[in-house]
Amino acid sequence: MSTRQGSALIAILVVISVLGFLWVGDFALRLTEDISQARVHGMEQKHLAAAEKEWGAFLQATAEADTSGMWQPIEYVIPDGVSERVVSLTIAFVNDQWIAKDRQVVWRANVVSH
Amino acid sequence: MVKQRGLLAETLVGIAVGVGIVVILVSLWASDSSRRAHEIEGMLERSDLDAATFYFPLITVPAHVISIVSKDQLKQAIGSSQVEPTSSHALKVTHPFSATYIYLGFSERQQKSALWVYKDRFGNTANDALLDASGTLNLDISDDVMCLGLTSPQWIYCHNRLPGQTHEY
Repeated sequence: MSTRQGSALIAILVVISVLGFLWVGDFALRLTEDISQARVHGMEQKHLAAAEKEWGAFLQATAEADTSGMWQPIEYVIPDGVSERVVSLTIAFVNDQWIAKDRQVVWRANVVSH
Repeated sequence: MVKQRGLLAETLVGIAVGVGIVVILVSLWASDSSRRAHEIEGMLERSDLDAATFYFPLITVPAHVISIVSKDQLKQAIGSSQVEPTSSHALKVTHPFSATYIYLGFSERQQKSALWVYKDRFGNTANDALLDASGTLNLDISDDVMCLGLTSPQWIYCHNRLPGQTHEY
């Protein structure tokens, strides 16, 4: 290999390494963004699912509750992703419909063992 | 003499090629870095919005009443504050013994328009800028759903009414 061919090869390698470095940086940036977007999207879906589950738990609690018109406490636990929410309410059956008040929510972290 | 001229010409050609490569690399790098800076700026903006997406359930899920209040009602609630509300209305989220107001505004320190969160808990108050936001604050509320929208950055957050909650509008 002549000196000129060697220099050309080095020049090509320099260009390729710079382009490769830029591409890898770009790839890492996009990958990070995709991961964070997927995480947020997952969080939104879990939040929506938790709302549906909560209405389901509420309906189940009212189905089993006393319909005499007295105020009574109910409590249910809803998993909403990385944690679970403990919801307590006071309900009463008045004029053929359930009325809920005193809503309280406490988030409890799921205990995970590795 | 002829050999020396040949070497000189070869050296000059080498230098020219080297300078050419450096110019190409620098221009590549410059265009890429400006694009990357623009993308990172967008990522930071999205990161603020992602944080807001994680934050809003913390105030909307335990709420008793979610309502919309006018600018005058907001000013009356926050009293004398260094923050100047700019949105025509605000979202009020009421919890037991506390109320949280979300609105657009600016202050002397935070001159860029931002989404502000004013909290009044047992009489202790705090007014914090959540994220940079200009344009308008759109609040859409019905019996079942409340949606908060920003025009710049474009973003929308919706909350479905939960048992024991009331939407007032």
